[in-house]
Amino acid sequence: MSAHDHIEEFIDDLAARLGLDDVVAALADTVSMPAPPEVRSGLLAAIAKRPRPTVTPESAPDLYARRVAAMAALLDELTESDWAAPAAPYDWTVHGLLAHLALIEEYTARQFGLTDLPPLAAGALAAVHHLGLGGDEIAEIVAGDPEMTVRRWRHAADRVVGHIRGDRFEPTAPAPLHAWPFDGSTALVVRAFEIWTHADDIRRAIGRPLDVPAPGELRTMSSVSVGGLPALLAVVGGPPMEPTRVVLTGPGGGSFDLGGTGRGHEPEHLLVVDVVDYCRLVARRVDAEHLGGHRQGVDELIDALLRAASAIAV
Amino acid sequence: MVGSVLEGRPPGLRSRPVAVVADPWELSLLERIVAGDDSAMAAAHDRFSAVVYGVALRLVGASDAADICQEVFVALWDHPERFDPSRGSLRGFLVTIGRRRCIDHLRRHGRRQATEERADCARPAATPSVDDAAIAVLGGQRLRDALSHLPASQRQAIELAYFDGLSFREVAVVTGASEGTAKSRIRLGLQRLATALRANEEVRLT
Repeated sequence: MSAHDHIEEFIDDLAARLGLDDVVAALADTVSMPAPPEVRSGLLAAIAKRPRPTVTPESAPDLYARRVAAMAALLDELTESDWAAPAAPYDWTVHGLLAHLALIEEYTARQFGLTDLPPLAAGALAAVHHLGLGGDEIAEIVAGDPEMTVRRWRHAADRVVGHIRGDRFEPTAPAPLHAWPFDGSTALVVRAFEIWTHADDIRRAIGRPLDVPAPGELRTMSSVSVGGLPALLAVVGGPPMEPTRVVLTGPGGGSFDLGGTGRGHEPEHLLVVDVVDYCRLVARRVDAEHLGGHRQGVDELIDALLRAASAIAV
Repeated sequence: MVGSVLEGRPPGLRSRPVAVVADPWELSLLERIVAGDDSAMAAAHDRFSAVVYGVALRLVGASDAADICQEVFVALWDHPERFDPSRGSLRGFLVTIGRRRCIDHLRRHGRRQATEERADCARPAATPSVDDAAIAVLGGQRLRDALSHLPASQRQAIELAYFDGLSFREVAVVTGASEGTAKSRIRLGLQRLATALRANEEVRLT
């Protein structure tokens, strides 16, 4: 007798060892019979009481602070030649990209009331267009030492971090950025998206592997983004919102119902996509055509939702 | 070409010759379940419950089959990571879990009541109106045909082992054979069924 004979007691074990699981599974077909309706209803009731444990989302201030820390760590490792590397998709070098980020961080500080200048209202596009912000100043900054640019960015970012960790930060108070009427928390999540994305732009420029935020960070970023999709659908000229389930897979992902989908029911529209890919779509670093995943329902609505997801990025 | 799938491989040594190609629908379903999408569980139920319930009904009878069927799907919800798509289909995985639970149940509660209930169970009066119906009808008919062509001793051993959930030792007692003989009959029967099934698949593909 072989060793297997001692542990094999049932036909399933034998079939598994012989690679004949499919034969045994096919045997089941000969007795297939519809389950009583109470099995389905009982199942759905049972799992409703056992919600999938989700990752604890990072608070918006912690998310922003963690992204600042990750960027700072990356900048510390850059060599002299790295600063001159082209930073696609922009016309800037890595140095130029950081100069842009420093100006955006200073703008963020202004919007949180941390400078002598008054915050600008949402929609003040002419004054605060994202990529055009301080164009001439970027050229001046890049003419200087990258170390100075790092200090300037870090000074502004630390000022924001200090503020949002303090008692004066009001998560629900208006904090408009560019055209968007965000509150404080949402503004921080949007900025965290940007810092993460630009850090990856730098990594791409210098041939480093991209960074995947921690699950708690991804949960915060993705849930804020998905939660905004119904409103953003109108911004991108999409069709009216209909019951849709967005399932973001992978650590930090989750299942989100938009437009009134009831739990336990197959939604009219379904989008299943990896949570990191989704976040990169939001940041316009992945095209919808290359997103992968699974879609179900009306293409027009799903396509519009994907456009809406990246509507805030520039 | 009958048997060409198995050419070059001695019977009994066919330990999964190629990696299982995972079904994209099953993979997507699994990802949704992991992400907490309860509608994916509804879809899994609609696709696979008939086969899981049918097996449980045959093994433990009507009063416990529904509970066990539900437990199988709740177990998938609780531990989706236990399903390894590289080792087989989700369908087979759920059926296997169901059978194990049934056999445990029989060991705890005895076979008498289940046997009496099974005797009262009618064969399927109607086919389910879900995708599973087509799969079950095709697979079931092919298996029934193949089973009917097995030598009587092999067919009986397989039916006792699978549909009654008996261990090799129990099959031996019922059939009056040695345990080794009972196991050999089951192995040979399974291999014949595999040959018949795969030949059938090849015919359908060519």
